[in-house]
Amino acid sequence: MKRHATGFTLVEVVIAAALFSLIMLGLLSAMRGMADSAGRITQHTERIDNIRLISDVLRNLLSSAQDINISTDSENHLPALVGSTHELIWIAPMPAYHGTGGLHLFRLAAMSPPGDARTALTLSFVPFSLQLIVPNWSAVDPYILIPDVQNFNLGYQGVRDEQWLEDWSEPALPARISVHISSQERNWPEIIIPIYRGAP
Amino acid sequence: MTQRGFSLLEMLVAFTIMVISLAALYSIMGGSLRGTLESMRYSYAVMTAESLMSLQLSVPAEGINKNGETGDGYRWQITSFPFATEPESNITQLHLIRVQVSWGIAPGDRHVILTSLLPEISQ
Repeated sequence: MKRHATGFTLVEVVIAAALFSLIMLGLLSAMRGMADSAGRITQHTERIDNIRLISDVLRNLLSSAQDINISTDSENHLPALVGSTHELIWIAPMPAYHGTGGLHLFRLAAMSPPGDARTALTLSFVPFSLQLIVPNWSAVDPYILIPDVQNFNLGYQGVRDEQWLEDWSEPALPARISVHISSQERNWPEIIIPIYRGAP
Repeated sequence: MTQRGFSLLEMLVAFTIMVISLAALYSIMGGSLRGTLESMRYSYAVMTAESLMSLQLSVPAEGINKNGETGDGYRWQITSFPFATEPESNITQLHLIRVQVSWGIAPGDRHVILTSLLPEISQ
């Protein structure tokens, strides 16, 4: 009796299905692995970009801090740079390519923006004028440098004293400012910024 | 039998090709991930070197030779050499200062070097 090949036998179909599913399993897990690595690469690159950008901005703005003697009246003199561990206010020229240029009052602070429980590292600035020496910072919209900062500490070193201080309220500018930042569970390298000035 | 399927040998060859190409793709992805991490370490090292350089404003007469290690495992070394100036000129003696930050297992394997000129100030 002659057998006619009318279709696949059950064994053939089972083997074909098993092979097909093996191939698909391998391919899909490879694809997912590649998508994961691509995401991680993008994440790392963005992180490096952010760190470089933020440290460069801080380096530019802080190293050009201006020593301006502000006297509110004949008795009181405001220091040109006021800093604590988590907040720093200083006067520096805004780079002209941002449009405005001129002296600005800057404030670098770690705080929670409204409607966000996380602590953010923020930079606010207003044009500097002698009429408005102490602006109402809560009315200024801050720029968020890092949305989620775990640790932000500032340190100050005077011209004569090698010791790092936690606060700065002297009339003269400090010689160096150190910035410790950690975000996304990682420490940034310590940023030490010298303040350029005339002869110390 | 007019219609023939694939033989076992053909299937094996096809499988092998697929596995080899997948392995190649995997190693490419792994390589780019490693490269990204390495570039991150380079950025960190440059920032560390910039910070170390910022700590120096002048060089004492005997020069500087310091080294140490940061908390995140970067080894640093600061050295200085007197910079040859014109003998008659009465400008301040300058020193070539060199900040090297290295990381990795083999010393000097991966490193960045920043150099600058600083004036000598006797203390």
